Amino acid sequence: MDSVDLEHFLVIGAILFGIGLYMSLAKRNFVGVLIGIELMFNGVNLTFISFSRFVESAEPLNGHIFVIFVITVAAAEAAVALALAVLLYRLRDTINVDQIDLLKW
Amino acid sequence: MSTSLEWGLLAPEFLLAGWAAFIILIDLFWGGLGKERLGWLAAIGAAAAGGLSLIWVGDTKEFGTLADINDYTTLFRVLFCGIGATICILSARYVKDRLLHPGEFYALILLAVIGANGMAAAHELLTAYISLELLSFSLYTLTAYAKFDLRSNEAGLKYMLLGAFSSAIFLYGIGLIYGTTGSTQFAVIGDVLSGDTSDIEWGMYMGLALIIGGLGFKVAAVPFHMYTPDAYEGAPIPITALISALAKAAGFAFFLKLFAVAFLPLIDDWRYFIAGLAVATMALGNLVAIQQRNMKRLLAYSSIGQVGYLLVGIAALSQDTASALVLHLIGYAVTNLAAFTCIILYYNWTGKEEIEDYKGLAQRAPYVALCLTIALFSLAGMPLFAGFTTKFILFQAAADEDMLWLAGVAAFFSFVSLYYYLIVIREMYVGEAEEKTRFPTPWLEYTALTVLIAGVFLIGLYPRPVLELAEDATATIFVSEELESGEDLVGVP
Amino acid sequence: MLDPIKEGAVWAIMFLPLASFAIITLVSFLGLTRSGAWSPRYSGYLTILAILGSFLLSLWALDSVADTDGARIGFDSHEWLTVGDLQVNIGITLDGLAAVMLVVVTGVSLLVQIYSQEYMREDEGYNRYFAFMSLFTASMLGLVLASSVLQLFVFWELVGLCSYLLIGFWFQKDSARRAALKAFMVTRIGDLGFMIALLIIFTQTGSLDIDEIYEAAIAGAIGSTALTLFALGLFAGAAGKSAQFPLHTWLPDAMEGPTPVSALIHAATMVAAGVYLVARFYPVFAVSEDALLTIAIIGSITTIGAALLGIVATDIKRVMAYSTISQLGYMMMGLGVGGMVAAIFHLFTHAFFKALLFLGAGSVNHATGTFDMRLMGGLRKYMPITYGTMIVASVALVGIFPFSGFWSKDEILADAWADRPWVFVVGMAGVYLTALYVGRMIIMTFWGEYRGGVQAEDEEHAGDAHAGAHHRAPHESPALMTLPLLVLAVLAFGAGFLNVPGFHWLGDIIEGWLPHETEELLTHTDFKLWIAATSVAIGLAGLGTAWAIYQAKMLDPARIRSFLQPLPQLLDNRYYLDYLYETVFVKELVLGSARWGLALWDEYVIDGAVNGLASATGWSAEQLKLAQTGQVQLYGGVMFLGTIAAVIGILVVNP
Repeated sequence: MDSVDLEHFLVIGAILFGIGLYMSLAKRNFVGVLIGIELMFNGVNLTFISFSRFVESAEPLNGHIFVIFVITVAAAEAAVALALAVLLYRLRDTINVDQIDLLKW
Repeated sequence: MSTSLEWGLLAPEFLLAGWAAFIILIDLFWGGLGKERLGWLAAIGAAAAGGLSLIWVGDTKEFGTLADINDYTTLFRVLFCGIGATICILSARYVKDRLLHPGEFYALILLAVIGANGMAAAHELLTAYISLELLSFSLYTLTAYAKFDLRSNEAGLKYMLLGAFSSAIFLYGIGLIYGTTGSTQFAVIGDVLSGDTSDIEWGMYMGLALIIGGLGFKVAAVPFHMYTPDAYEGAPIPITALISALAKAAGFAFFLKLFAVAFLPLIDDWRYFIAGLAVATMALGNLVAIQQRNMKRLLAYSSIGQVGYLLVGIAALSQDTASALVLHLIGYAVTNLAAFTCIILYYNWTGKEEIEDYKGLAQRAPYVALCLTIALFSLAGMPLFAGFTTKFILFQAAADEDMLWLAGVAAFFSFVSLYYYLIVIREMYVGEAEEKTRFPTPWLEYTALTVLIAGVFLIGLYPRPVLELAEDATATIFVSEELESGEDLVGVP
Repeated sequence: MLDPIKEGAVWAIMFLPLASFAIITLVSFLGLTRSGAWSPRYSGYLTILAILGSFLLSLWALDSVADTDGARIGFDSHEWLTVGDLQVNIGITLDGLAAVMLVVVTGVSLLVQIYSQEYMREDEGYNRYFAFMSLFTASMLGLVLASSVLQLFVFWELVGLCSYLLIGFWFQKDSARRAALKAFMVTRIGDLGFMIALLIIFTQTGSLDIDEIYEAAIAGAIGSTALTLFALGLFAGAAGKSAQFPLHTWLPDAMEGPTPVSALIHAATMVAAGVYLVARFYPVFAVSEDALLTIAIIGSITTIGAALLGIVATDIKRVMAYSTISQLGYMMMGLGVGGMVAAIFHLFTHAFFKALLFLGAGSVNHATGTFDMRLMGGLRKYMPITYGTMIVASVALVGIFPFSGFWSKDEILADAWADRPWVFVVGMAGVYLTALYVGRMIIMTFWGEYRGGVQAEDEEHAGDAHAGAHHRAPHESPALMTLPLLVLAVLAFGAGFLNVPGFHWLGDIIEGWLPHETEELLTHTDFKLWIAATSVAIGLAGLGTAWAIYQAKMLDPARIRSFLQPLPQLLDNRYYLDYLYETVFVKELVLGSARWGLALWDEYVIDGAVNGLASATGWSAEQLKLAQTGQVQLYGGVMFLGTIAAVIGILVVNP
């Protein structure tokens, strides 16, 4: 583990976050956007875990606890989002986010 | 968490959760109760929870290392429960006429109140985050609650997607803060930051910036505001009121506590950026509001403008400003609820929400027109009403913190805002109604409206009692900086 | 002499009209007016009673203050709230200045309400009218009595709000709505200055109590820049309310309200508030030479500019509006040359004769159904009381010995001579122009032959809504309307004697409250016979010119006018006649060019700037609105950019 230290994990986390961010802003498909957001969450999770492992802290476990909660929240998020997506598809026959612009200005 | 927890401290939240389950069960097994009475029942639960939290007036207790139960929490618990109860009462008629599944609707409102309570109580980032998500999820669902309404669905989707997006940014910020300070406790972070700051890494500032981004979304500060008008317009009207009062107040309760306890030592690093946000928020909210033709969108932009004033309080953060900010928050919540009550009433009567549809309201329901006028004047900061007094105290406190220029800008936009409120008022009084018949009088809603308007006048004319409550509340978050930091380091598991 | 007044009684001065407002509002909400249980007449009686009570109490207050030679009667202030170091008190300032203002406000308001009983008789908004009038009076009284700047500001805004409600009283008329909005918005531009002044003074002195601000200003505890900014901010507020250049444009349009409202606005309430504000903070202004100079300059520009516009207006109320602006300019000039006493004295006398002029104009309108002077003429035969009282008011306005206006105007001129001679010259020019437009107004309205009043097809000229009743021949107004005219005429004649050379009773009261340091900074002058004689001579010369042009027609514009008279479009086209008047003036007196320039300035520069600002705001708001495309990913992108901005913003500030 000598050659792999905190920075590497953080960089991976940041890259994951960045990919997710790009996806969520660029994908037209609603599910794609959702996956992008999930990726962002996972980038964050990786960051938390690695901090938890490497940083001098009075609360070393907090990072792990955080990650578990974030995973749970992300699952709930997906549930709500997919429910809305199904409804969207039924109402409008599309799940392309760039076509939902009824509300504007 | 080996120490035993005083579960009793969370009794109001348990009550709310239990009541939510109870409401769903009632709806399932006793449909004969009626959709309207279910709402009143939910309101009773919320009010009871608010009453229950009065037990801890003057106490300073902690729930493990997760949350404070002190005057700050109590004040906001009562405020949030009050907002929840009011919204339940106001929804009753709307739900009866237009929505399915009333049980879940009211239960979600109660759950949102739990989330809001948690945000005010938390003194630790994870608790705050979970509470925030509880509040947000409830609101996403409620926004999209009118299942077969395209606009409601779209609003829910947008709100949810952007909410999740901002959550991710916010979480990344928390992660960086945790990594650089080694803690998620507000007080410990504050302690680390008030020590030797020379070795604080840039990651720490990065985390701070991301947190501001995430919180900016929750309170709808420019440029994180863009979901607001769409979500406001699409959501069922009582939920629009809930977003504008509850989500915003909870966001600021958390914002204020986090920045006062954890990030105050770095105030010179972030205050100018927040001040910039405040200016942008006030400018955009008030200017675009002039262009709006839909009442809900108008109030959305007006509420964005109000966020700008509140951000002035964060930018000039001190104990006095914090008290002024809390006072303004309370005044804003009361005034806004009063305005929304009128709009909900009008929607229940006519199903219309464009500004031009309000023409002749003064003839058909003079009391509602008068109350809406009062609420709008209060939002515009006219004297006599809450809006003037609270804004004045807030701007004065900000000016006292060497933010005179910012207070001046805020005063300017507050003057501008009168213009678009006058458009609505003119429509109500000058326009000729197509029908001349009077609207029927729903007494319960009228009573709620009267109480809210009385509150607007109370805060406007004699704000001292409310201000004293706000001062007691903020005293706890500013004292805790010195007292708790020592204890917490010992108490961590 | 009576006992010194009690605090409760002073509060009652303000609360009586407020209570009347509350009762009328409550009654109409309970639906009692519709059911007939409450005759609308009761609202009028109630208002009159309440204001009568206030008036009597004000007299008591004046009496008490006279006993102390104008010094402040101390009442405890009540703590309203405390935020950190900011303690805001509410309380009462009762001193010479406040007491004189109280008497003016309640006195004029009382007469106006009595007059309104008759004037508004057939209007369906009768209840609403008296409710607003009560609130208007109460706000003005609250403003006068305030002991902290914040309290003052609250009532200041309320006065603005009431003026909006009253100017737009006939809101069915588009022009009334627009005038109301204009008045509200333009004065609020000034109010912004006031608000900022408030923030500045608090950061400088840590207090909002007017007394403590005096102390700080006199002790030099406020930095000179901050002091000047504070004074100018206050003056911006005052200029908005008192219709000083360049914020004067709302006042002529404010004519859209009922005439008694105009009388109240012009004489005692709204426009007086600005002058009162400057006088109230005179200890602060007195130590800031820059602020005083600004006031003197603005006052001078306003005096001359408005008087020139008054010469060419054809609407009798518009002539009076310009006259009010011009006279307010006089008061500001007085304040700018250290003549605080003279300015307030002039406010005092002006209140009576201007109220009289307006009520007289209302009476004329009652008879003829129009405000257009070209449709009047010869009314002295039909309306002797109105005519007589209007003559008294006009002579007082011109300032002919021994009418009230003479004494006060003379004092301002004497102070100007002692302090800033150039202001004196401007003041003299103002006297001439005033005499000219007053003479023209009287001649066009009352002399010559009756020109027929309102025309059937000319409804829109008809001014007030009830004027639709067409009268074949004009007749004198009923007693309820002429009685206030007579009372005001007596006051317009005699009010000046309260402060004549050798008997400075009123003047002593007005300045008795000033701290000694400020009192020394005031300009004190003796009566100078040559100034008095010159101003009277110039006034007479102005009246003579008016007579020569409009009556004797020696310099005859009417020749051209009568040549064109048969042309039908002349009756329809007001602008054409306006233009004709201008041409005549260019030919005869070479003043038209100046007026024309002023009009252009008004129309293109001032309005243009305001409109330009408005459309620029509108344009940018439109663009900002369009940014909201409804595309959720665009929203996300903007949020992301915002976050990047946050990162940059915070990392850049951090070294």
